[in-house]
Amino acid sequence: MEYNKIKGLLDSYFEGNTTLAEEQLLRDYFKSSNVDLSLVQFAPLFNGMSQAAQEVSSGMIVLPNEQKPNRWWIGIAAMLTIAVGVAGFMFSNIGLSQEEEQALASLKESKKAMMMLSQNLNKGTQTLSLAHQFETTKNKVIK
Amino acid sequence: MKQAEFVNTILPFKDRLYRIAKRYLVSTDEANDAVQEVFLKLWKNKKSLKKYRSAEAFAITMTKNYCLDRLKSKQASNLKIVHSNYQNRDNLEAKIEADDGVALVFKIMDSLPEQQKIILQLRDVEQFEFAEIAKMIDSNETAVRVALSRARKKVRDQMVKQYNYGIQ
Repeated sequence: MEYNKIKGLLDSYFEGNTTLAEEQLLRDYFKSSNVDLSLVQFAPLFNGMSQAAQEVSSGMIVLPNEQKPNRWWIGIAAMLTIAVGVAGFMFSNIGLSQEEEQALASLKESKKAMMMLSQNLNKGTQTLSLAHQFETTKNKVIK
Repeated sequence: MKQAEFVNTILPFKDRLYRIAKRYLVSTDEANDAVQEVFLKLWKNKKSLKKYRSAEAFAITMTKNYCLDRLKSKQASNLKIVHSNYQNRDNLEAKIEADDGVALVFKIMDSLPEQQKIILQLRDVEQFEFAEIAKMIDSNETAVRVALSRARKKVRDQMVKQYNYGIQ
């Protein structure tokens, strides 16, 4: 490759104006064996960069085991259970008047009992109203 | 996202993340730890990973931030960052640095400011476009170009200085 072209590329390389393709051209040039003597001092720069790009990691990547699918299942199951539980409770509350019926029945019972009590009480007061007959007859006699 | 799917998206740039981490942290072990940490974080945030157009750019930004945090906490605890892995380097690295000139390039690169170092790494080693780099380091293309030019010139000047010195 002509010296002038490489020299020009080098100049724009140091100005940060080369494209990736041009930089690859430079790397290839300096990798080759026929580098111009006046440019040979730049060879380590480009060779170093291409060598650095080949370095690989020796470490292993350890990721925590995933239990996501299980958890997803459990979540849905738990939600369903709760939903069924709540729904069952609500529906049974509407349908189940067992307690309410009991309460109503006992209310009726106690009402009846109250009525009986008050009827008897009224009977008592009616008979009690005759009591003043004694007073009038007594007054008649004693006077 | 299943674990297999996640690994398939992320694993292709594991080595790239490692190289970037190593550029910052120098030590092989620490760079591996950094990659592991970044992967864990990505795994935990795998839902938000889909929101990013490029998972790779996101991962690189994360690695960069993680390494800077590590460096900061090291400075805070007064620990010096040393080339602790000089003895047990892997073969490839030994081969790279056997070449004195290449070793010098990395030494000069280490002495660059963090921003210039990462830009040089992302452009000349990882070969990203300016627009991609700008997104990764939250900057703009012009700034990236300027920093890159400065970094390259600094490396060149140091090398030329050393080269001339060596010849004498």
